Amino acid sequence: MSGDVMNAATGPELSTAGLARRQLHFILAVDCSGSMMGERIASLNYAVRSAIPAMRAAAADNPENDVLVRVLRFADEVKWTVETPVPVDQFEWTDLTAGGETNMGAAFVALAEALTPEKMPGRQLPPVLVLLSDGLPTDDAEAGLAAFMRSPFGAKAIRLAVAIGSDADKALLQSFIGNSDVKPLQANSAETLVDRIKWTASVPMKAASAPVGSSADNVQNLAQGVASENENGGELVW
Amino acid sequence: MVSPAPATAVGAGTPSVSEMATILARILHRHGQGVLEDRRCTLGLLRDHAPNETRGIRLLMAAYDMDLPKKLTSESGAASEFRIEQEVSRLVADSGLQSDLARWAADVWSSAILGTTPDSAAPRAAVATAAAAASPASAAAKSMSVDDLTWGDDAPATPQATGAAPAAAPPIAPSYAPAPSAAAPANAANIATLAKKPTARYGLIAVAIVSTIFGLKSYIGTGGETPAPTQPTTQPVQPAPTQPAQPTQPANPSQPNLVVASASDDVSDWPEFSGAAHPNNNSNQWQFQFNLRFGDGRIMAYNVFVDMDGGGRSGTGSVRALDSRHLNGGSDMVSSTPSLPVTRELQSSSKIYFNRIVTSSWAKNPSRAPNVCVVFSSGNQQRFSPDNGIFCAFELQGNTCGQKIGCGRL
Repeated sequence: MSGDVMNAATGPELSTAGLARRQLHFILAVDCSGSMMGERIASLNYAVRSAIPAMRAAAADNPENDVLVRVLRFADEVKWTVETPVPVDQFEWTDLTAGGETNMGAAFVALAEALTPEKMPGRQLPPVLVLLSDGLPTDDAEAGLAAFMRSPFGAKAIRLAVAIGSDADKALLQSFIGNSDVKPLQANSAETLVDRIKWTASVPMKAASAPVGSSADNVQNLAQGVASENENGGELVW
Repeated sequence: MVSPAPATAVGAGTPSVSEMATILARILHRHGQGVLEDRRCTLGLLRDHAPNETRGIRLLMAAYDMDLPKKLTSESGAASEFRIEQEVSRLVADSGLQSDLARWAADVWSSAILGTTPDSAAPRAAVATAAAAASPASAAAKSMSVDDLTWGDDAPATPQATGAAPAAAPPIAPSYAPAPSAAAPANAANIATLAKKPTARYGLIAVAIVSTIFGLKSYIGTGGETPAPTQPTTQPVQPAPTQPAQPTQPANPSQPNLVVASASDDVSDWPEFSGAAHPNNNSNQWQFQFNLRFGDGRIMAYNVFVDMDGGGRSGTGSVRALDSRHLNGGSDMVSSTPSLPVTRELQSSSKIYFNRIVTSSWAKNPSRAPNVCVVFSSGNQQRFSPDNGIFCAFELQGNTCGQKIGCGRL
């Protein structure tokens, strides 16, 4: 049968599926609307770039999994800047620019369309989604979020959000996370944004790749991690 | 309009009106005015389109939260500058914004929603300037207004001496546009409810007026305990030549700028009528004017003149009226009463004085002005104050005040 191999010594068939490496999709959804212009988008670019080593290190700690990275930006338009999942070792960051409106609902729809078994074949760990936004959606974000949650992997994903600045719509970000124990990470300055992105680029990866059956503990750990991060709010600049 | 140049900013950190209005208009053009129904979306769009204008956005949202865009979108045609003045005053009173910041927000919203460019708003500045010039401090301007705004040759140029019954009111034409409304608490609203009851008579009217005055204490500044609300630095106290308020201007009752006394129970809805004054700087004399809309659709301009005795306990007065359809060259249509008694009562518990004049008879009435009962007050001052007064006009039913026609502020 296709995909199986015959062990010449013992004879029994082994399924390669049992030995296949699992994939962990790490998706960044970045708000690139006009409100992100200036220092915020610059800080975000710097933060993601500087978080790449931490991502790779986290992936290295889980050698049994393939960590794949994608990046979705949303403003007037929703666009995958890294559409084909890229192994974290090969992932390079291209600076994003800001401008336009916050079509977050459309971004949720785009995520929903990507998080399907057809688009993500093989053995999958729960994907990790990190939403970074500083603003208020200017489209029907609730409808988009509902579509996202109906997607095959959307509801199962580990979802985190970083509220950039004090004016972000934290209620909506909380809805995206979908777990009241896990709060949005708050980033009120360039410095804390770097910390938050580094954290989201590494810690949730470990949670996602943890053994099956410990998901509750993982969520709890995530929640505690987020709370601990938020305690170190840093200077309120944004 | 206070801002000398509408396109200017109101200080560091706030963009110019034109800049922000352009941005806001672009948003509305792209999304339609329906987007204003969604606060989150409105705020988000403002942030996205003007990411560096945090202060300006907060000002706009403060006005948004006071329903300014909603009020402007409900306007039929361009909002009058006086209407905007009203909104500015309301913002100042209700939101605590400084007047220049409130004006900035109102100008941006009105420019964006109504399509008026800052340049086209220039006449508003002229109106405000003219209004300032028409203040009592400017005798020349006032004189010009008086001379220009006479109703006709039958109107005497000056009021009669104190104590004498004036044959007719002084020749100050009514103002048809509201000046800014000042802080007007809405908790004294039920005046009309009282007045509308069939059994309502003078006593009830008095109670109603007193209730209103209680509610307006901060506005009137009675008792010296509550400071008067912040007023715009410039008010359209009185129309001036640049914005002619001659009777010819608002002759057409269908014109949206023809402001009439409000039948609303909400005091904050009452328009302000400019032009109340002490004739000849005699504090015992008081004149004011207002417009009333009647059930048959007619709008009548009323001009009240009273002359109280030295003790301020009673006096005489007269009323003139003109059907707004005859404002244009309708001096022959001016109705006038003979000398009428003016009564004054002191509401003992509140120490509020309220006064009443009833047009029980007319010397001539070519405009077929309905009889009205006018109750007015300026609070607890024995002597009238030309500003900060209120009035309500009621239908005259028999010898008593009946259903409320409308109320306003002076």
